[in-house]
Amino acid sequence: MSSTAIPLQTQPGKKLPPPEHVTIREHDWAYAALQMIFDPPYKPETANMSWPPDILTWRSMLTSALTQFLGITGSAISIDILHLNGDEAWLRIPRVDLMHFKAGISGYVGFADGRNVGFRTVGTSEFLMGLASKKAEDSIWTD
Amino acid sequence: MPPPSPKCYLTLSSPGSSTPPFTNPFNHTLDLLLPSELYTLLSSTLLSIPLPSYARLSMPLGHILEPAFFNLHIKSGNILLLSRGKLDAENLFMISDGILRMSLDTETYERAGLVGRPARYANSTGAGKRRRWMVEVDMRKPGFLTGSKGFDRLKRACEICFKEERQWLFADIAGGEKKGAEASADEDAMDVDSTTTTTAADAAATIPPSSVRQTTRTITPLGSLHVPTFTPPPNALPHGGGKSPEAIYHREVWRDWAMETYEYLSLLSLPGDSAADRIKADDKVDSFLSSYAVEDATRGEVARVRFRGLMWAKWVEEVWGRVREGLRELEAAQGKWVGMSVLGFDNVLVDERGKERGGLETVGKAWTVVRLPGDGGDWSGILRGDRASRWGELGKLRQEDLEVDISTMFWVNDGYRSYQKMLNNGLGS
Repeated sequence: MSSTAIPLQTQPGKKLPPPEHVTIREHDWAYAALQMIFDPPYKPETANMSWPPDILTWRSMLTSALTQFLGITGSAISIDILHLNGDEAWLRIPRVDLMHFKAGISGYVGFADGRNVGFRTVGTSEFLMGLASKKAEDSIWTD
Repeated sequence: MPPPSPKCYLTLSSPGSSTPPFTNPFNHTLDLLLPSELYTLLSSTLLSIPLPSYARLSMPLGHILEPAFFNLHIKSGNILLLSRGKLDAENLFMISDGILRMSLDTETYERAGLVGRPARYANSTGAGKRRRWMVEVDMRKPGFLTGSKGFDRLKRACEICFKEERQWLFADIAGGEKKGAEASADEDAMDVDSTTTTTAADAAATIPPSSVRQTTRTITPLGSLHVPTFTPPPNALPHGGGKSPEAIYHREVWRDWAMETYEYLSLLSLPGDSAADRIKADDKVDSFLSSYAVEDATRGEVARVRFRGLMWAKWVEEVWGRVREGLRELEAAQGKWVGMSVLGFDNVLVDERGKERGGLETVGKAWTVVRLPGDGGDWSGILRGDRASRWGELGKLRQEDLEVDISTMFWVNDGYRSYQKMLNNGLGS
């Protein structure tokens, strides 16, 4: 159907080149989807100022987790907070720092607003599309 | 053997040539992304796309060998069937193209008594004991009939090992493609195996109506966003140019641009009812919190049409075909971009080429295709020709074997133990 789309002005006698392929192996970035977990948890029915956590809370919790684990090196990992949805955040980090990042946030226990705070790793991926997929799949099975 | 590292494959095709066919079975989400003004023009096309139905079943594996199901769906029909579970950690089953594939742990494999081969990625080299196995049964083979040796062996395995109920997703591809021709399908079913007869009542019995679901379509105006130009930087080239530093630089620039575009489309596809915070037009955030920025952004409205369900390759292909056809008729669409992302299930055992997938951290394949608004200049440069193409198509940005942290339960005080638990469930035999 595409062959009739828009006529190409090809030079006579020249064949169309085949589709070109490019493989991206080591992307600059890696992405992580995290959920912030509170103990004791916030009750959804009672409105609370500190739930869902805002972007500054996220930033300070992440910094605190990475500093606790890796010191100055950890706090130097640059994190871009791309999106917040409820208690979940989508982050972008340099791919080379992903291992450190994962290790740093996984065992972290912080303290805020009278509660213990930790992170649950929903997923990490070198391409953001993988994270979009991860979350969407569950609801097909359950709802 | 460890699973392969994540890669992203990009295919470029010129406007005239066809894109490689879409073949990935088992998709759960399809997002069409396009500027809002284009959506209003295309909406009748988009709304006329027929929504396939699928079913969520709860049954033991043996159910597929019962005469009604076997004749109607396996022997004569074309179905997709996928069991729920985690790849390389649980026993999984899937049917596509009439081939039943199972991924089993050693204990189940030995008890089942079926012939298989060691799994490709789940077994470490040199280990004395194989941990996981892959069994493939071609159920459309002419010799595979009720009462044949292979059939009886599978049936026995179902009775002994696979007794428990599982959750399945089921899609009837053949039925979905020719709705209304059900009567003839029944006749075909009878021809295949004359020892049993299949009636419409049986067909209904194989898939209880209560389990049938309709693919959903959600139209979300994503609001006012930063929108990139979708044209590559000047002089950037995907290929060629030799080994000179300039050529390498141009290729690098092109790759960066392609990945930024891909990232942008992912941000439009994140779960939830809105686009990602950072691409919203009115978003103001300190660079300490995020340094993400859309390059050369203009303000624009974007709409997203999201389909959710169990979607097979041919249907996806058809959707994209309709979109392209709709665009071709629209004069107004010439300078506009349109994107489509298709997200696959995580726990599919083989990819579309029959290559085994594996690895605890693997996620489903994602396919993204973008029609770019080239206006001759830059884009025809990319295609390395002197053809003044009016718009190009950046073919499928295909992403596979992505890594995802499987440990979905790093709970605060108990991180280590839950990890341990996962190891016992998943890796230990």
